[in-house]
Amino acid sequence: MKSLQERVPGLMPNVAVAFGRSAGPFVVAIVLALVMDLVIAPAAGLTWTKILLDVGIAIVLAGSLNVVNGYAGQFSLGQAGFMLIGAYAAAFLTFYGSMHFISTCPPDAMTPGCFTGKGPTGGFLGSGQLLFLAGCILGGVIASLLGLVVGLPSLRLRGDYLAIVTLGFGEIVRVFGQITARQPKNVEEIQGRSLADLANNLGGAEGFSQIPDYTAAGTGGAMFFVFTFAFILLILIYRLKYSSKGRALLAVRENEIAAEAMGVDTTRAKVVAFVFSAFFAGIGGALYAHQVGAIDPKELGFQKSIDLVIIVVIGGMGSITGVVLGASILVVLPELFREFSEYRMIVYALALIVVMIARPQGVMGVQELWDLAWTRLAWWRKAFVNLRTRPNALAIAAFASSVGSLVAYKVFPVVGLILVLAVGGIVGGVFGRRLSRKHDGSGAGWGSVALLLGIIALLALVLALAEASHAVEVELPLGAGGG
Amino acid sequence: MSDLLQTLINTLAVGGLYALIALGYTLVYGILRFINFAHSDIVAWGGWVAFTVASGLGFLAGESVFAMPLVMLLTMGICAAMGVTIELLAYRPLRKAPRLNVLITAIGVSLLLQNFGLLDHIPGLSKTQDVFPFGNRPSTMKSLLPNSVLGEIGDVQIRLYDVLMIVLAVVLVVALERLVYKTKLGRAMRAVSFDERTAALMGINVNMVVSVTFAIGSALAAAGGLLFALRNDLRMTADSTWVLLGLKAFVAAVVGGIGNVRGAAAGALLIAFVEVFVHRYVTALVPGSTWVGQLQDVYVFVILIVVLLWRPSGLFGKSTVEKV
Repeated sequence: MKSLQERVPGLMPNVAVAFGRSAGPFVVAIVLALVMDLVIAPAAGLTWTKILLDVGIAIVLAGSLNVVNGYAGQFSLGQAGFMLIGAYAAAFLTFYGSMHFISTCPPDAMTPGCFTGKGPTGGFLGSGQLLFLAGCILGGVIASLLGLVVGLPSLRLRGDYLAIVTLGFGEIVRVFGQITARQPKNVEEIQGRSLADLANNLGGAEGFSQIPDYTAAGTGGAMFFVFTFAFILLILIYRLKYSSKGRALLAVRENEIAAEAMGVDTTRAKVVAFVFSAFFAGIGGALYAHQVGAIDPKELGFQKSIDLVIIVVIGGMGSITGVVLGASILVVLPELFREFSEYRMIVYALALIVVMIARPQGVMGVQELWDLAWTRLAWWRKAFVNLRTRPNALAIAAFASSVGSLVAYKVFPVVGLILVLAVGGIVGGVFGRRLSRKHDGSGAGWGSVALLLGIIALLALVLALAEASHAVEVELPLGAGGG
Repeated sequence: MSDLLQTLINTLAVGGLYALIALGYTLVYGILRFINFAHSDIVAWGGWVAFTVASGLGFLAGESVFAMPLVMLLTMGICAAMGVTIELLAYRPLRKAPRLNVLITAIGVSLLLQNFGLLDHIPGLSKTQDVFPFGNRPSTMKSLLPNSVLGEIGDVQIRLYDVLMIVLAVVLVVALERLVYKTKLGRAMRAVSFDERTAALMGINVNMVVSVTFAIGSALAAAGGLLFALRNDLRMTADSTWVLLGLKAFVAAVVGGIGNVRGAAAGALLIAFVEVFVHRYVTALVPGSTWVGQLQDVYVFVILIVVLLWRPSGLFGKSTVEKV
């Protein structure tokens, strides 16, 4: 018997339209990435280009982690392991492969700048960059194979135990990275050996260095690669979240037994989540390695996994826009407040604890920006009519106050102003949250962020004042950043 | 032969150390059903506090008889207070929250303690470097006891620190076992572990029991940290040594079946055996290879994964059936 779609003429989708709807967003994403590369990167300058690239890579890594930790609710602490695998695979291909397949260097010795990816790659999407693209895919594929291996235990373990096992996997990958053989840097030696023979020469504990900097700030195409992958990932996880597969994952997260009773193949759902996540983590690792120019296995250990978990948790477990916001904030804030780089992790740790106590589902929860009430006109109208019953208004005011205190800290370093704004943010945040609990619960996220940023600003102020009172001869270091 | 004996002694000493730390993990899990990730950082703080106390009390050079017990007791007391405070501020508000949230909070606390220890200086205080072992510049742990040779078997020397670790671990495991199964407090602990609400209805002060548990666990961790610092003549930075030490003790607790005192001891011995003994002889099996020697940590994690896959709640853990 023919299916319903075939029998009723209007139900059969037009092939062209279906294809356009399916592929359209990807085309837009690639064009957008190209525009970023050609227009925004030159306009932003090196420093901001680097920050943007960092944000893009963080989005790829945290967005992929969000599928496992956020959607499927399987707490993984081994994302850096996948990252490391992807980084090694891609760097292996771009470093050794370019000497094998492209052989752009004089055969006598390693010349500086030879494999930087700026000259000999043959322009945009030239042979070198194609090799890099292949490296990214290869890194993703190998990492996703490992994801399969890590995903399988998740069938038997849950919660804290799974976290430990993924942590163990990450550590094992790191140790294996550290015991690989030295990295030959002599072109003749590399060209004299086959790629299979070189597979163990990944630099060991010293790390893999002199990786061509395809995704470093200042290299043509860097923005394009990073944001193409970032946008593609965002489209994929958006489609995943609003598809039946994504709902199945969310069901597994809420209650595995209930999900199974509803006909969800929980085994399959979890393993697919792990494999998908590992694939993009591998690509993220490849992008990271080609930005830094070197792989240090010690850098990509437990600590890196935790960094990513922090982005996901603070942004909101299961929220796509939450992760984008989290990645942006956690990359940009440390850049702006460099004078406190020593306290970065302390602030993150405090933020993690405060968010967990004040708003356990993360700032955004599973909501997206467009789910929030204040994005709708009706909400604004109502808020205008009756401001007092709208906890949102208070929470957003508190948020503005907190942000204001941080801005004031950088731009108008007046102690009193910063103090008033920060305290305003904290107090407003607390009351906004309390009010919102009595009402419909909306606005709690803004209140939490206000609380958090207010605490951070207050902390920065106290630290700066303590420093200043201690070292009398040094001026009040508040103006040091200068905006 | 002497080599075998030496390796055995090392295994036992390391096992004792792991057991001390693993007990804290196990106690907390037994009662609150969550893994206290911050425990390994209490161990590190045990080392740091001991350093500060030893410097502050001025037992720097003189290896007085009272130095060791005094420093140890003070350190254990301070760290116990720390553990109780952490529970009060960070974990108690989340008592009824999903376990994942508590786990993330514990990771946050762990990061906080760790990175506070990494600070080069505390703002507003000068010359903290001499007193506080913070920051990236390492300072050497004060020697509180001479690591004298107690006896010799063949050409194997039995050193004081090794004996101290083994004895302390055995005594404390036995003491804890008695505490949990023979005393009124222990019964209260088991009751809270079994069913918190019913225990509260029976007149047990749940918050008090939890606080005492954290105090005991943290004190044990502090003792472990102090001994580790003394034995390894550790340069006191907040580096990966501490993280790895905590992780391995944690693995020991999990492998033994977390929530079980005897299991923690057995797990600690197993992990120490794998790490020291197996490592020593596997390395000897493959002569001339440089990379086999670096697999020490891999063995530990492989054991963890294998045991968890085979018995998801550890060797001695009670397997739980999930109910709807």
